[in-house]
Amino acid sequence: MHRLPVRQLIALSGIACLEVIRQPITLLLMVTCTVLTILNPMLVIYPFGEVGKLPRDSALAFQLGFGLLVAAYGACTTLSREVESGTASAVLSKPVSRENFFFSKFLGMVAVIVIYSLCSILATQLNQMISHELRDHALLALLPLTPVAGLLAAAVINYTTRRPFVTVAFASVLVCLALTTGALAYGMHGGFQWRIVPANVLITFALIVLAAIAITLSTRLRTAPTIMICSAVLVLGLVSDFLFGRFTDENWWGTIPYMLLPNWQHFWVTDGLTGGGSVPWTYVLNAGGYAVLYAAGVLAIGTLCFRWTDVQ
Amino acid sequence: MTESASTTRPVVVAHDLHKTFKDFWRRPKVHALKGVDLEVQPGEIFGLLGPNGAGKSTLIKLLLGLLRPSSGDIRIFDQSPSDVRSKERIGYLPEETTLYRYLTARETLSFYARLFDLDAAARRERVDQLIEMIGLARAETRVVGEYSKGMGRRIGLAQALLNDPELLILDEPTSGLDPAGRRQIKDLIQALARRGRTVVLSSHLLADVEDICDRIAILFSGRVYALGRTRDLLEAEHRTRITFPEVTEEAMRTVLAAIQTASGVEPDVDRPTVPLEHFFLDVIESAQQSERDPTGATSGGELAPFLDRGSDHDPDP
Ligand SMILES: Nc1ncnc2c1ncn2[C@@H]1O[C@H](COP(=O)(O)OP(=O)(O)OP(=O)(O)O)[C@@H](O)[C@H]1O
Ligand SMILES: [Mg+2]
Repeated sequence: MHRLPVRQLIALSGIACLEVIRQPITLLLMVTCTVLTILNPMLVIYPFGEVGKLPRDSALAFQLGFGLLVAAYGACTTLSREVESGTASAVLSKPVSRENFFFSKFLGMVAVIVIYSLCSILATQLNQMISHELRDHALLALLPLTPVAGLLAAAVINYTTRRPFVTVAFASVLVCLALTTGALAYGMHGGFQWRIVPANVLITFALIVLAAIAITLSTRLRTAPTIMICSAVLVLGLVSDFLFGRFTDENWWGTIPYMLLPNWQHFWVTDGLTGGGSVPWTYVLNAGGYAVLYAAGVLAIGTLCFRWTDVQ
Repeated sequence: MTESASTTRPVVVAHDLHKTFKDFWRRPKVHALKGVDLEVQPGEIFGLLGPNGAGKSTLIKLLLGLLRPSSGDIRIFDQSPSDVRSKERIGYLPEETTLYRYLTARETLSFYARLFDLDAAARRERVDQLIEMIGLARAETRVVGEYSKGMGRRIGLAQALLNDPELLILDEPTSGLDPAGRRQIKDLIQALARRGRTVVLSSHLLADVEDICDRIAILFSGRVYALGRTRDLLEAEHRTRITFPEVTEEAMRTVLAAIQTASGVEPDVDRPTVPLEHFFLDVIESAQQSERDPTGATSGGELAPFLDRGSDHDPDP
């Protein structure tokens, strides 16, 4: 009896994920992010302080910056595109509950963000290998071409099998990054730097929270206002400690926005990585819990809104 | 549910239905339906007619629970349209064919089939049969984004039939179809109705509606202006038509004179023409036999076997 909603959820989330991935803008953002991440250690000409710190911070900043665009744009459009194109009405005239349909859009976005973040995690590793070893191995300068190689592979696959280019490219870029990172991590003495991964994972949580906010807003607003409000939430969440946090002790009116806004500072831990340090997994778990609760709250509001929305 | 219980109760009941579209600030924008009352009985083909913007699609979306009524109430199978369970017995073809552009025909149908409570074998069987029925077996591996309008429409129809619905709601089912496809859809609708399914459809093509609908409602600006059996509404009072084969001028004169003396009025004489539809279908049928590899939709097969259940009784004459 409970199997049908689950099967529906899987089918709908899969479609939602594919529909976002198939928008060329998503691929463009993902490839740009990985190329810039891998390229940037070579642009740092006068490193000072810890070797690789500046490129590492930039890599995480790229993951966050481009990821926010991926999450906000994808999430803003995943629901409204289906409602506008009418596929939503075709699906909702089947025995699919509104709640299920709405939640599947979120799950689809989570899948997109996870794939995007995997690429970013791998690119961050390549970034660190270049920072540490470029002096000894000049050939590493070719690494920024890895995502491009993925695109070429996708073109070949598209030509031979006629599969859609954009979807294949997503997979082939990921595979190329994984193979390159795997091969190099095996050969280089630095190896795979697991201590950086929690920082990437935390940023992934932040992206998921943002996606939840964007999907919820898009039940009532059009794409442009949704993206604008998301940007505002993003900026306010970044400065929320500064703007509201310092008043929470003295004034009740500082507390409310401080509680309501997502606090991105929880997900930004580059300082913890300084000097070979690492982020404890318990911290990651706590931040993950915060992200899950926050997203669940936001999605609950979204479900209620979507239940009463007219679907054209 | 027993057979007799489902045949006596109306399938669709709408009572004093109003729908006002509101803007973002909840201010009323368009009063699209202004008090619609109607009932649809099981097994009948019900036509919604009306000019553009009359509110046909709005009414259909209210029946499906896609829109919420501003006031009044609707029952479908004695359930609220927002009840998910009512959807298990409904098939819906939207006004504009809306498909995921990057899926092939087969993937599209399999996707929709997975939203129903059907096991994998039944899903595959139904998808196979429907692809055969709508005549897209040759194009099933192409993505639907590349389909022509009518081909997309056929997929839309197949998608609506996946669950073997008791109530089929079709918003302009024949728009965008070639005459053969149109004839085929009309035959299909009639075949389904003969097997006890209920059909609600909207259309601008009066000829189509006249052909197949048992009852029609004519909407204008959100109100029902005429409602009744098609035959009753269309019967021309005080006229009789006699048709007979080619005769000599001589015989003709005798017949006309006889009518004139018997009734005292002078009859009109003209030659009936073959409807263009029949002529066109004949041409295409012969063309189809000479073309080896048609690019578009072929004329398709018989009613899909899984839909062919229930007794095939003739509708009342
Ligand atoms: N989402 C909406 N927002 C505002 N007005 C709408 C909306 N949808 C429909 N309307 C209005 O409601 C009225 C009825 O529209 P509807 O689509 O039901 O007409 P229709 O009879 O299906 O027309 P057509 O024959 O062109 O399909 C129209 O005046 C239309 O402009
Ligand atoms: Mg319409």
